[in-house]
Amino acid sequence: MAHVVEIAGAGMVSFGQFPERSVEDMGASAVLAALSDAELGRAEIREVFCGSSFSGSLVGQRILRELGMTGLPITNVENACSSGGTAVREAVAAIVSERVDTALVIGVDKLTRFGGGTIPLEETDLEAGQGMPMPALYAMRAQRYMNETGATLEHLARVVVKAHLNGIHNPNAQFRNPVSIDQVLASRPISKPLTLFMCCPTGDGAAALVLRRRRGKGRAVVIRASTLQSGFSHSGYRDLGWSELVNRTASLAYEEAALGPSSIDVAEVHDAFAIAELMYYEALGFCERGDGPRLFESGETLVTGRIPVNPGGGLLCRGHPVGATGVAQICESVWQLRGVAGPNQVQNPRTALTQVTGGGISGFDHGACTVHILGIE
Amino acid sequence: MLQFELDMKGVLYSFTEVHAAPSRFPTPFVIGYVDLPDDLRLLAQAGVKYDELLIGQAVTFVPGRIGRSRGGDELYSYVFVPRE
Repeated sequence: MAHVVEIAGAGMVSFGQFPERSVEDMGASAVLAALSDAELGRAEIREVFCGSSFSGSLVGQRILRELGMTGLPITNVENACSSGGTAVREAVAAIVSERVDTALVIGVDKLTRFGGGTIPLEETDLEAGQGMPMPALYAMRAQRYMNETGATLEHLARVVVKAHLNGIHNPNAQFRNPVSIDQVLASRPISKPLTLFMCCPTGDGAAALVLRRRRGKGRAVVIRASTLQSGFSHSGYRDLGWSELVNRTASLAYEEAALGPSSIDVAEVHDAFAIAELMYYEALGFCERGDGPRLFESGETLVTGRIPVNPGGGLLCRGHPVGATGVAQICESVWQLRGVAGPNQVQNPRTALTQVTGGGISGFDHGACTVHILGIE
Repeated sequence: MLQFELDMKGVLYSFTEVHAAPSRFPTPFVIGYVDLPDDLRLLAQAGVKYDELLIGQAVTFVPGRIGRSRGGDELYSYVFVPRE
């Protein structure tokens, strides 16, 4: 894809538990922040894509009504944790096809409406019917992964410690406190071997992007790849220790951007559970299969390393209001590429990758994955 | 729909002890993936405790209570236990 689409503006609200903030209120705040960043008025937006998983019908319309932006083509997108990423991909396609010049993307969800506990899975699902909640799937992945790679609980705990060290400096993160390995291991079990601190929190939040057809030669963050894939369904022996879906989606993204994993200067990775970060290092090609723990130990995924992963604290600390995450990852990547990310600024990044992977349904690796590759020109 | 009788010689692929789940499945309980012959993998709760299980263990299925249905009735399913 030619670098046709630039990110003109990025904005988000802080993620956290906000019983008093509505989906409409958070969404509207994020939209205003993105428009302000883009230095565009509301009338410039010609089409809107809104990603959300749990916020009900007509989310986009309900948000935009707050801003008097009604009557536009609005597409509401649901793809579990990949809802936000899928909304971005739809906006990119609309611009590339020349249907529209300037599009708004919103990602939003409010998980506190469920009052805590695990995300509800579809009742008709065979595995949900046996009692399987989402953390159990990741816990079983962790068991296999540890069995196959020699990764330990301490590795998982250290992933969480790193996330919190990064989260401290992210003004939008839900958690901004340091934690110790002992605290992580001692937090209450959610699904063995995963403890509470190894799981991303439930929370609320919204993020927005203004995408625009690239014009002229001014400095801009451009989208080099936007890919989406679904998991394959198996009734049989699928490999729980390897994320086939993420690897497949990322491979397509690298092909589209005409570059490889070694060209990525900073990455936002779907660390919904600490085990996921280690597995996705491998699936994204930052190291060979089985070498996730070794890559982590090398320090290369710290902010100061060769391939900084989740410099803002990731899902573990930023939080994971499901539909908002894919868009928020891109917001934080935009700020990294522009050099305005604050204390966790990675040194001179030119190329960023973001990945969200969503959904727990029977027999699937996961339901959907989106990968974006951004560059600065 | 055709009916098949499955070979019940299972191997435990992975498992976990669940501490957070919808309230109709009282916690903690053990759940795991069991590989049966001919490329079939089943998710099921265990009929034994977490500490009695290891990845790769030989298991088979027996009936067992796994929780309640949405309507509040007792819910039974196949649960896995070690086999000799």
